[in-house]
Amino acid sequence: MIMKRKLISVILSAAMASVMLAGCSGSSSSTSASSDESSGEAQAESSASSDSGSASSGASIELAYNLAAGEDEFNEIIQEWAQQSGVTVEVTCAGEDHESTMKTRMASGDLPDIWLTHGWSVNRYGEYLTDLSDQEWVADIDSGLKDVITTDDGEIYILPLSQSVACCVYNADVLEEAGVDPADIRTWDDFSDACQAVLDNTDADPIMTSLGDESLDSYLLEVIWPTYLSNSDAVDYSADALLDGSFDWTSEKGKSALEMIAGWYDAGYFNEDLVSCKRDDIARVMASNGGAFCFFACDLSNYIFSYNADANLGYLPLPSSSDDGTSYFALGEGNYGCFGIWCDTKYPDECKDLLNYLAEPEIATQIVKIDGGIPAMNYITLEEGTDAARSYTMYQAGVSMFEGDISYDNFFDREYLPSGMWSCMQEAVDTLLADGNPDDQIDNVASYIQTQYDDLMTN
Amino acid sequence: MGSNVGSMEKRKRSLNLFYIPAIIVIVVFIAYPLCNAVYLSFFRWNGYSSSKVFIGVQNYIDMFKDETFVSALKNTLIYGFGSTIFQQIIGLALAVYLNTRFRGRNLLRAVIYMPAMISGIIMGYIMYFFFQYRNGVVNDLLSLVGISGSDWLGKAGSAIAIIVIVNVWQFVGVSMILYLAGIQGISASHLEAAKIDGAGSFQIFRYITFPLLLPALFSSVIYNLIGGLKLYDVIIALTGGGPANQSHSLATYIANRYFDSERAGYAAAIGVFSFVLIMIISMIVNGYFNKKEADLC
Repeated sequence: MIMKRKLISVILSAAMASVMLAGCSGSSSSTSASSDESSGEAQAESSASSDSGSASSGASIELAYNLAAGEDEFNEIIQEWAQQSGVTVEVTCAGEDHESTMKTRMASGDLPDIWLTHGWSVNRYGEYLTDLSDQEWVADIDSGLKDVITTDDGEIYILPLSQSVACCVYNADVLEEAGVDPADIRTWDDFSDACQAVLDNTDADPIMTSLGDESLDSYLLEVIWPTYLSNSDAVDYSADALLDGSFDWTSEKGKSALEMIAGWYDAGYFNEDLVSCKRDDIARVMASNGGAFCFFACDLSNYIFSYNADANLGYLPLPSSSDDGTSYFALGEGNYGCFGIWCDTKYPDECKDLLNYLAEPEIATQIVKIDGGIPAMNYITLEEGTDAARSYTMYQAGVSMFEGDISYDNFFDREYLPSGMWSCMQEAVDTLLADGNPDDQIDNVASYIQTQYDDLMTN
Repeated sequence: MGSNVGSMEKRKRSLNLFYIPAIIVIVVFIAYPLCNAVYLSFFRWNGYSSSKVFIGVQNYIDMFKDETFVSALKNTLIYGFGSTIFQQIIGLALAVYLNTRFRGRNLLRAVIYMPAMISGIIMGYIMYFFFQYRNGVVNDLLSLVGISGSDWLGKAGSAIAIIVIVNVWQFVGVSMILYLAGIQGISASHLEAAKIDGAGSFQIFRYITFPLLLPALFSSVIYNLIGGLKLYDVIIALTGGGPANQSHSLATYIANRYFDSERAGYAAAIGVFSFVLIMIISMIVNGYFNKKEADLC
């Protein structure tokens, strides 16, 4: 009797433990299943086809994706390949938490076989990725982007299907009402004159930004710093000091961008709710002709078009800090269309096959449409009417407006700052502007940037 | 006799096996992460790289020099104690009121409890639409009566107050339910005896109902206090820790330092501090209520 009870208690304990463990593992596999029922079916089918004797029988790849809004569409594309190849592909999508998720997975040494590198294929993920420079599609990468994603040793770690452009998104209707021609904005002084014209002649806010958003505030420094510090014609050119970590952020050179932002604030160019509004508020206001300029990546226009498909927008390259300098577009990997392969994956051949499939013109075009960014492959052509086509048209218009007087470089923080500075840039702008007295905060903010920069350089 | 004792011992031992799953869960999800956090707090580490630099207690020293940490600590105490005090007062008043008989009483109980079932992040975004500057419900209502709106979430003081209000509103239903259960557990004979002795409504509440509600008060205070001290999602949705990091709690600041600033060792040090702080506060509150209960017995 006692033995029987003992046996029952052991069995019950084991059952409870196994139920809990099953619960843990179940949540992981259900991520892909719940994300898309049809994809789950497709996975089942693809597994079935692998059982029926495919060359890649048994291979199972995890792909970490990050655009929640495009997950279903992307999954369909992937599962079509899975069916053809017999390889099981699990697409996991952490959405806005993709970056944090990837950091924890890097820490645990358990990375997905393929993941989106969202701008960090070289500096952050380089040591974890497979060199893809020998792939056929490399010859078709846009030449400007190819320079940005190629290491000093000639290695390329990603298949880039889209690229991101940091720029000044403007509302052409507001500028027209203010009597401003965007083609005349060549220097930061021209830009300030344009803001003043908007302030004097319209009801719109000249510059829209948000300290309540994780990126809009940082973008102010992201776009101004290179024009002062790293572009070849910058008045305070200091690229070498930035790269070797010796740059002094508390010097006059280091404070120039902060002083310019403080000047804009004092002149009343920013939107009144800059401290608390969010990206959606900015997009809504820009869509209804309530704002003239906003510094961000080109994806902002898609947010604005979601509020007003007929909004009359354009991309302005960033003005120069010197009178005879060139305007500048920051080019980098797209956030939702650049894929790298883990160097320790068990299935390198299958992963490369999948990337080759994604690089096919028809598939690559579909990915860029989902991304909504600028195509990174020369052979990608976009139909009129899509977000991506509109982004590309605006980018091309910006390029031709400043033709011969424009330069390109990687995103400033990705090239010249240590990983982790994005948050510091955000806090710097927030501290500068939040209490309404930016001139008094400049030295304090410069010291903060210096401390964080020194700290992160030693990471 | 001897065989009975022996069989009881064996039974006890076999029952002890049932602890194993709980112990596994505690070790894996609490003990190991805590030990790991203590270990990491002595290193400079970006949170993902394979190399860490041992820096001793430097992270703990930096912590007390960091103005944002001090502000986050102050805010955490405001969120914890501020929310708890209001939740107890309002929750108890609602419980007393909703214990009386009237039509629609059950519906009202459900409506008051309902916000507790909504995730904090969703609640935060809903309340953002109330308090946002442009097109916010509060500012629109004020404009109807000719008062110009304010950027409620753009000033540290009002942003912190709004976070407390939202947290109180969301979880006051939990306090109400705990008090309601406590009130309904009070024997009617106690109340009748007090009435016969000539006690009025206030005296009955002061000397009979309230002392007998101490176990409910204890549960409610501990639940709300720990919830307030760990507050995260409402802050992220409403202010993201702004303006200029002035509404961070320790929880949001830890996430910010770990994932955004890539200072994982520093974040771990704040996490360890936060754990010790919550443990000490819980122990003090626990000791206080135990003493009160003992005094009553």
